[in-house]
Amino acid sequence: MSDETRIDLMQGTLDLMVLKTLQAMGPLHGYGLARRIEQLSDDALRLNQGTIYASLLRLGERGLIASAWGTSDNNRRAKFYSLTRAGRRQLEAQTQSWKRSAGVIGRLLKLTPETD
Amino acid sequence: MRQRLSVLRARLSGLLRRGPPDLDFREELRAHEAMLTEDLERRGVPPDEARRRARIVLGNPTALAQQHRERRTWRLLPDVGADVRIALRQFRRRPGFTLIAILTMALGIGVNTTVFSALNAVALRPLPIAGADRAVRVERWAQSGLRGTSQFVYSYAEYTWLRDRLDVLADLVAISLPAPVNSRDPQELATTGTAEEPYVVEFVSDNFFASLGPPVQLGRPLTREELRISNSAPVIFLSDRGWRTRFGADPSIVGTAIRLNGASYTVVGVGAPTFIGIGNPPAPPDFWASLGLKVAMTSGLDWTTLSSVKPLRLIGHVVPTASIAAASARARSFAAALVAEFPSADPTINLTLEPTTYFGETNDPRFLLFISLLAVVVGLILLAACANLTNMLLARAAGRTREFALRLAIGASRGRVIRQLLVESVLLSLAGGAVALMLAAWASHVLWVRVAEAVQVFSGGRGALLVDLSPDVRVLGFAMALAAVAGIVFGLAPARQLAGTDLVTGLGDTGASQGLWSHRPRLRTWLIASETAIAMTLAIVAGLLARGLDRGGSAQASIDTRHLYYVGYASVPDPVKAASFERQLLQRLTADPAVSAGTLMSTIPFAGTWTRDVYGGSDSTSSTIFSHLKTVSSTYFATMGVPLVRGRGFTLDEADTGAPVAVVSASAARRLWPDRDPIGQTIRFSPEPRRGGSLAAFTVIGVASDARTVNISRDDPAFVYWPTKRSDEYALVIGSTRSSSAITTAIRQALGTMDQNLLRTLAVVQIEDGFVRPQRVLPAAIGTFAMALAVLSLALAAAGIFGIVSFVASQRTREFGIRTAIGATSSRLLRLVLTEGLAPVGIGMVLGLVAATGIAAIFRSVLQLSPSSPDLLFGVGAFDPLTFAAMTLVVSVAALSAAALPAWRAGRVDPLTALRRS
Repeated sequence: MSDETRIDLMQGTLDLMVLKTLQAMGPLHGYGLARRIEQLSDDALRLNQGTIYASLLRLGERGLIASAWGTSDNNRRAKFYSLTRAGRRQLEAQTQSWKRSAGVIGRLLKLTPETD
Repeated sequence: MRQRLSVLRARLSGLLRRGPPDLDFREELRAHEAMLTEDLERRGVPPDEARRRARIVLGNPTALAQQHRERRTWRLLPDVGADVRIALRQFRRRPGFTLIAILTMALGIGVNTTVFSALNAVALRPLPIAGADRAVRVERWAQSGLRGTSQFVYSYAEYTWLRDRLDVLADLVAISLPAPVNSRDPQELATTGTAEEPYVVEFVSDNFFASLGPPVQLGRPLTREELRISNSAPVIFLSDRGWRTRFGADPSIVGTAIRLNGASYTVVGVGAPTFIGIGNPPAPPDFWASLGLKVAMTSGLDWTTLSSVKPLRLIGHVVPTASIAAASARARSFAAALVAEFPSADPTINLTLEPTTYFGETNDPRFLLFISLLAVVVGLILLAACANLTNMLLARAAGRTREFALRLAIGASRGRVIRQLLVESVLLSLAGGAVALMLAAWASHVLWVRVAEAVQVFSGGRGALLVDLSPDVRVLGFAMALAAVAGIVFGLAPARQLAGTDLVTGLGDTGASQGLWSHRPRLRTWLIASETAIAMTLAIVAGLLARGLDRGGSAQASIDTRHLYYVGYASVPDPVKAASFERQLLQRLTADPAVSAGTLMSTIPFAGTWTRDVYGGSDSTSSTIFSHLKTVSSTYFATMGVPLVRGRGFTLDEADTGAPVAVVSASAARRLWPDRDPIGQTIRFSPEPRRGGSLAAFTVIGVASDARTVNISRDDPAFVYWPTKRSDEYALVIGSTRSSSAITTAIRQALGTMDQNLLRTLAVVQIEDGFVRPQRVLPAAIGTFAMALAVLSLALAAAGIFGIVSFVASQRTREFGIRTAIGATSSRLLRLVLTEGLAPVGIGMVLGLVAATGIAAIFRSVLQLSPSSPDLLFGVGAFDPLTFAAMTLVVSVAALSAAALPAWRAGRVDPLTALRRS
């Protein structure tokens, strides 16, 4: 995949992706999350994997996710993150608002120039 | 909201967790990196390459950990610690710079703290009594709007009335104004001539010790029973100062009997040094005693039965259930009933409860005006000091451009750099504040000694003033707050300038030597200009005051104040008898060959006056002047040596009956009737003592020459005299050229033959010593203070100019080198640096001249406002050209010499060295 077709992450969307991924896949560690997000976007997303931790910390502080140490598939100690109830509610609310704004932007982009 | 709380909790716990907080996170990152590397290897990437790519995808682990830590806690606290360490290191490296910066701020803050500690002692600090935070003074507000001590005094009947009715007060204590008590027995006093200095006593109500709980160092306080009004016990309680000055701090004083006015009194206790009385006036008495002992101790009027005398100051505690504001509102509702019960010529229209500061009249507008003026002046000095600090920081910032460019380049945020610099300036300022506190502790004592000297003579010399000037939390807070604010505000400009460093220039070759400072000539100009303006203003004002000060010592009254004496004694209770007694005494005195003349008058020369509007005609369109007024007897003009220039003075008969005739001063006549003969004209004014009384008409029978009898600093602008009445008592003044002991003997003899008892109360006061001298002391104190401030601000300005000119010169070394190389002479360079350096000084001097002219105009308008206001300048014109010119010269010379040395150095630049350096 050439660099031109990869997209930069929109500000503030990473949190939503993390929440959604955790909801869909269940508890995951940081690397797992990063990997999943990349895979789900067919590697179209340019993700500096370190930034996922800023997002995890932000969400943790707000009580939207919980974390606990566990063991990964290949027997490595890793911290696992999971969605809390507040996280679920937040995801729902954000999904709605995301869909609405995406719809508006989509309609706007479909506008064709009027010809006289 | 809930989310915010949880963020707060997370960060707080991050803050509280000590030790390396990011071990956890680093482990998490390591795991991540390992899994990523494994994944890449599985996809066929060689191990080394896999590790490299994993690093790239994940990012710098140290930076990530740092970000992580920053989010988890507030960075500010640990960082400020680091900033402080860096700043201290900087200071150690430049001790000269640090010392001068601290001293500069210490002077600026110190002057302000000095004034504040004096203000704190008299107007903010609570009294040293029990429950001081709820203690209040009862203040009355008269219909006439009269301000001053009269607002705080009550008769005994008013006291008991208020005590029984003011339910918002838990208690109400009465403390009399200070009164003199003779230690000698009356008989002894009558036979030997001179009296020794009397004790000063304050008579108090029975609850004084129980309510105010003054700290005791020896013995015990007086009990309620001992202090009963009727049948008081013959006991007294000494103040610390009374004990030290009058009894030599005798440790066995308790239980000793002392003689007062022919009777014995036992000393029961001595107050602690901290108990400096209840203030207003701020002079502790020698001792306190029961109000019931007043007659026995002074043989004067009985203060507990006479409702015409109001000697009692009242202090109470507001009940715990009411706020002080609510209690004060409640007190107001008693004003009308108080007046109904105790009618008065000038009725009280309002009662308020005021905080018990040492100086009672802190809400007096004149006091507030004085304080604000003082605050502006010392504030200007602080401003000058701060401008210097900014200068120094900016100049130094220039040398640190490269350091900060480097910091920015390796990733410090601009906010971080600003904070670092602010920490430095605040630290310098705080250190200055600490030194300032020590400076102020010393200076406020020195200042207070002069003020006390001046005020004491005004208060009749009864007991020296004593205040507690030791710095307290308020003074400490004031100095430190001032220092912190000054440090932040004046450190901001240099900090922002450095944080705005352009990286390329900053790191480049010229960065180290070529500061940004040199690109900001406007800020530099204004700093120098404002410092010069402040110095210029203060120098001119101080110069004016100093010229007044110089003349104050030599100013002469128009009357012979050394040979005029006021004769005072406690008057007989019955006012009619008192009046005739006085006239007989005057007759006896003038019959004595030692006394050349004697007269009666309403106000003693140089000891107060009263002023009124005087209308020069019978209709409403007549011209008006604001004039001094005085009631005088027939012999006034001859005794005082004020010649009559037209018409005649008062006859004996007129001065007995208070005839409706008047004598006006020459300038009053000129202003009322510029083109008419004043003799026979009618003038109208209110002869009643209170303001707003009804007008009465008087026929002008004579014109007296202009005189100087009220303020030693100026001729009386206008004077109207009218005759005394037989039924009233006045002040008695005699003239004599004999020695003052001969005069006292003569007076003693005359008074003794009439009433032996009054001898004890006799006071013979020379007008010059007793009343004129105090008027010379205050301007001397003000002049000295103004001079000190002016010198200080001039020094600050000179230091500022020196600093900036040297800096600019050093910045341009290379340019000067080139100029010299291509033929500039050193005198040309000198001229160049001087003209550029001194241009802002010129602007400042012009601004200073304008400000000083404004202040001089205020001086002049105050003089015109009221004939009774003293002339601080003692007749020197407010726009005195000599002072303005001299001070302009002084400031110019100071500025020139401050700029000369660095400019001269610039001219000596060796082109080879200068060019090689860059």
